[in-house]
Amino acid sequence: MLTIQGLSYAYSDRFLFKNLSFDLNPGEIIQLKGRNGSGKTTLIKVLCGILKNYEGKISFFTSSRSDVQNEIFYLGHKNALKHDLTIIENLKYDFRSDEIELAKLKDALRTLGLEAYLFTKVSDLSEGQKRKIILSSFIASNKSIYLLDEPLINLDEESKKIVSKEINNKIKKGASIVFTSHEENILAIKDINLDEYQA
Amino acid sequence: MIFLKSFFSREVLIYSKKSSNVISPVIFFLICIAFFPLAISNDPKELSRLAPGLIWICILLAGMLSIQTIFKEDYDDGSLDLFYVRRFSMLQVVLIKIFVNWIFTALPLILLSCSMVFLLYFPLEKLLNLIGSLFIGTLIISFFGALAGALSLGRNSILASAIMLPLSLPVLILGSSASTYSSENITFFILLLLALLFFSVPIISIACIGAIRLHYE
Repeated sequence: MLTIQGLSYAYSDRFLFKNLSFDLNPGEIIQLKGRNGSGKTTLIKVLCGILKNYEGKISFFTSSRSDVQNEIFYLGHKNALKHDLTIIENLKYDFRSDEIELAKLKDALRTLGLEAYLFTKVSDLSEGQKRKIILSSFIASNKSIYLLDEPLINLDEESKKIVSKEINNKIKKGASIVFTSHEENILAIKDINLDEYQA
Repeated sequence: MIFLKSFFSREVLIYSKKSSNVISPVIFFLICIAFFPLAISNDPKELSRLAPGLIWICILLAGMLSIQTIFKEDYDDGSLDLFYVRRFSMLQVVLIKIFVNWIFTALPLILLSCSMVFLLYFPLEKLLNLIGSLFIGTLIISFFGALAGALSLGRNSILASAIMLPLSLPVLILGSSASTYSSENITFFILLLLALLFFSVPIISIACIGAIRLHYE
């Protein structure tokens, strides 16, 4: 479980969001909404521990912070892929997929239609295909908290359906998900509009 | 330990796949060394006198081509974010990245300089002194370059050069002196270089971590 109390984040003397509070229970999904620059990506980065100079309180369900970090799957706006490496090399050395069996990753890649590109350099792939590589880690992973920044960006409609289905599967298994998206009425049971938390 | 091994393998794989990181400094070094006899003088005595300094300048400038961007790719593609998410030791990340960069960029230059010294009529009896000083000196320069790269993340490379070059001056002076003077004075310069290395490794590593963190505040 994740509890946020009075969370504020300022950037260049301006609050991106102020006094934000919400709970995220196991099996729950929250969509972060808001106009461009409202702080959706920043909030995701604050929650997963990349940005630290925030005000307020973030509590995870276990007391040990280090254990919690291993239970978080972070999908950023940037894919963190190395363009000179192949898909399989990237996944082997990606710290989101290092604990996942290769067979599971290959299955996930097959689900997303990338099985023919295992040994293709990432630089030769489209932006949508690059996104799918990291989404294959997401599909094959088994974490309890997922923080996803625009997971569906650059994907075709068919792939969006596959990823949405996988998100629902993870929710059914008890995982908690926070994600950002500009798309309306997808997946989320509840949403938070960051425009309402501007200073 | 698993992270160390995995991260080291990852860095080695990235450098081995990205040949421009290795080839660019080597080509730059070869061109510089080959041009000096044409541009300055073809007098063996003159070249022999200038050789240690010329080799050191070439290695410093060639090394600058890659060391300044040591954290840039990880910062731009979001890999650095993942290190913070997983709470990996940034000290280990910084040390491994610098060491692998040194293996792939400085080490080939040191080996190459051994075979190129004849172009500058470098006295062969001082070759070991040159190699010894280059081994220590290039490591120090790598640390200074990494700090410059960390401070200038997301900015243009002129800033990195402006930070790195003044910091590298003591190494350049000590290194070229160690390769110039007679063997009885060598120990003094080598010891000074070693002292600078042991002084700079912990301080510059911590400064690098702080400089990278600055970009996430």
